[in-house]
Amino acid sequence: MMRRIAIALATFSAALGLSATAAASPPDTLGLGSRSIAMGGAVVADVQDFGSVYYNPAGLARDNRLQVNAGYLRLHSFLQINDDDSDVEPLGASTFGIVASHSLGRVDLAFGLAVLLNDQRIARTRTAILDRPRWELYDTRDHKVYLSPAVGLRPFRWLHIGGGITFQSPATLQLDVRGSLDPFDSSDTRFEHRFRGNLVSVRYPQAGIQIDPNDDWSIGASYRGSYTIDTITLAGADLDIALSPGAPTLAQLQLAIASASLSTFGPQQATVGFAFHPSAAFRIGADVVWVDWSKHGSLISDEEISIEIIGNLPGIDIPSEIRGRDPIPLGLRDRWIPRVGGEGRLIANDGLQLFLRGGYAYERTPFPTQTGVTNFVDGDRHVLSSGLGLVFDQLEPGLDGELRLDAHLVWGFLPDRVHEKLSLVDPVGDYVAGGNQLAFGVNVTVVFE
Amino acid sequence: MTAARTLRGSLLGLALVAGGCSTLGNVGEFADPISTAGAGPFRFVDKYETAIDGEPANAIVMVSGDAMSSGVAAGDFLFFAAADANLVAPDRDPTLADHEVDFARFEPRTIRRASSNGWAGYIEPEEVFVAEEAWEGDAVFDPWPVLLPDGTLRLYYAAEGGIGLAEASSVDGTLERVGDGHVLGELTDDDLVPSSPTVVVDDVLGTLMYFELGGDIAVARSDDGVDFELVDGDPSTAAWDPLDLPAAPPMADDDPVELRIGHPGAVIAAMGSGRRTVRLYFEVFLSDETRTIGFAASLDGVDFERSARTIVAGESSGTPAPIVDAEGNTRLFVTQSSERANEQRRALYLAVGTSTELPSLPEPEPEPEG
Repeated sequence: MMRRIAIALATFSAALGLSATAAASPPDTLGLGSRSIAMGGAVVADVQDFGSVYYNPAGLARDNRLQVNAGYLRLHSFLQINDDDSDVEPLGASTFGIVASHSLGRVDLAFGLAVLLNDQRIARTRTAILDRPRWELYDTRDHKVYLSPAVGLRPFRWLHIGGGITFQSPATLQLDVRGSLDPFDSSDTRFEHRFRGNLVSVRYPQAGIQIDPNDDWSIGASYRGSYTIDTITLAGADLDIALSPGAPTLAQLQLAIASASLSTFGPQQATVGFAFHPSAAFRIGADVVWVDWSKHGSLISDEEISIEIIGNLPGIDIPSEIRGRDPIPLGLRDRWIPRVGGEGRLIANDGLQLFLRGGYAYERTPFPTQTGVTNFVDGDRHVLSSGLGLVFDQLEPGLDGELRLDAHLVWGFLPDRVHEKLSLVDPVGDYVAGGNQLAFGVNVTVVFE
Repeated sequence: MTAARTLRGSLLGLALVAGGCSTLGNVGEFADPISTAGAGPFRFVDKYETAIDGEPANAIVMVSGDAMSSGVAAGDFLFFAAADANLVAPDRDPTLADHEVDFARFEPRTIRRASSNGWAGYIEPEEVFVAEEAWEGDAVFDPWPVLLPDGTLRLYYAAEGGIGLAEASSVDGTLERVGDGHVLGELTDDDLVPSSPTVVVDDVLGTLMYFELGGDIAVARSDDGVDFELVDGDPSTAAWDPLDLPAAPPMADDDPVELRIGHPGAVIAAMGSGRRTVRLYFEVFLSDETRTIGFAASLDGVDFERSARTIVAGESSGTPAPIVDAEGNTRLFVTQSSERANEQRRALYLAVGTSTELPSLPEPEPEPEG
């Protein structure tokens, strides 16, 4: 057994070494795949469908059949601040996945791809306004496309390893304005502008391992790297101020604004867990996830502003010092998230199996109470999940394989949290924030023998 | 049920669910909840919210030809001080700032009461209290009404000899002085006379009166709302002190500096957490002859934290008087300069939180061009 563990640790380390840089992503909030979501996400030890790409790529090589998956999921947040609805937008997404495997001698090799397509937008980003409270984890950051390919290997019957990368996109936006300005007759003012946007991908790695000490037990571990999505906005104006077109220039106005803000930070995460599955009719599992939130940078943008008038423009006085803004540390803390879940088979006859699933996770918020000038609202989250699964495995001649239908229903509860300001004259003041979330979704998976 | 029938039913259900869900992808706006403590900044309500038409525009009550000095609401009524124009007025005091009213050029101020018009405006003003006692001189002003739980109205006011108190059995009743009315007179060895009273009543803090005293703001405490005792604003020193409300340093060398503060208006407000604070608004006189409104808050009513923010716009805003309305919104009554007939006067306006929506008359459609 010690030899097995030593080999496992060595291969896991090698997989991590392949990793580049790295991720909070929509699946961090929504999960991926109805079966795994219904079991509270406690599947790192034995996940084996397309959700392996997110939960643990090592699971891709568990099943050497071709799997094709499509689904849909939604999240509705009913969150309040001081009993006023925060209007957090519902989130809907289609999911697609494929797992294809091939045997090379005694080694099973599998490729997996998971896509989560937000049905409202490709991506959403915005900078934070200090005195506007917002639910930081649910307001904007989940409105993104998730695309992740991964590979899994099974070098031994008891060992599974895997790794992959996930893509996200930051933005650099630049606005240039130039022209002439007639301060006395706006009809003689001429501007032209140029806007440039650059969406560059960032990648972060993930890797995992699963070990089956015997037929009843599985243990697993996975790692996801961190990623940072920055939004950089550059705006510049270079204007000649004249009394009319062609007239001598009175003065030249030069304006430059540079704003660098952190749009989304995905912390590195490490998960360990086990699963106990004494038969095909019963399975339970438990995971613990470490999330490195303390590395989160400031969400307050770093701004520099400069205005300069070259020449003499009577009556216009530009202050010698125009303030920009400096980032404010958020003070997030690392968190340990426990997850438990299981499933039991209720019916097994005539090519039909029916599974009932349930799970629970407790996500302690990484955000401190907002006692200062920032207002990034969050709270501890209790997540209760449930689901049903149907497996049809006698579908010949139409299908030589299985058809799986899975559905999940999740209730998230965020108890009221009091944010008491240190300053009695804070414009936002104290507030109480909490609420509920409701998520649901369905998945259909076709498994080809 | 056979597996085939179950499969067909499940696929049909899945198709219905997926089809329905695919139509749900509406793109919404950014959630932008504005949550404020209600302490400011404030915006001024306009004539569509006051339903008051006339000059000066957007004022909450029209008193033709008169100059106002302060006002605040109690129940459905507005109490304010105003003075009629004096037809044989002396020359204007040249030492006054441009936006200041020279009340020597008006008839003595009296206290008026107007009733709500159902919107944010007030109508039918009537004179309800005039100077009669010797200590009052010839004018009463700076009214501060307090409605007690039994419906009794207490009206604190200022006069030439200090601060007085009158009562009525109801908010629209006849006001009678308590004794000779004199509550606070000369308070210090410097013969400083208190003015501009504002009173808050709280189960924990008791009855606190804030008032202006020689360019500072002081506080007195009472158990019954009638007999007040001065509170030392800084117990760390041997002498009695006013409240410690230091100004923030100017941001730039050429920014105006604060000369003095005065005319406080106080209210007790609860925040979302349930914490209750005394919020104190006051006039700030600056070296460039402008006037603005400052803000400070306190848990115990004596030790205040002052805000460096601008609370309301305008270079002549003064006499702030806050109340918390039935919906929990803070309403701040202020006066601003209002020059009429080449005479500097002041008119009364209402400011509310920037996110507070009040009932409003429909605005007229803009006329088409050409």
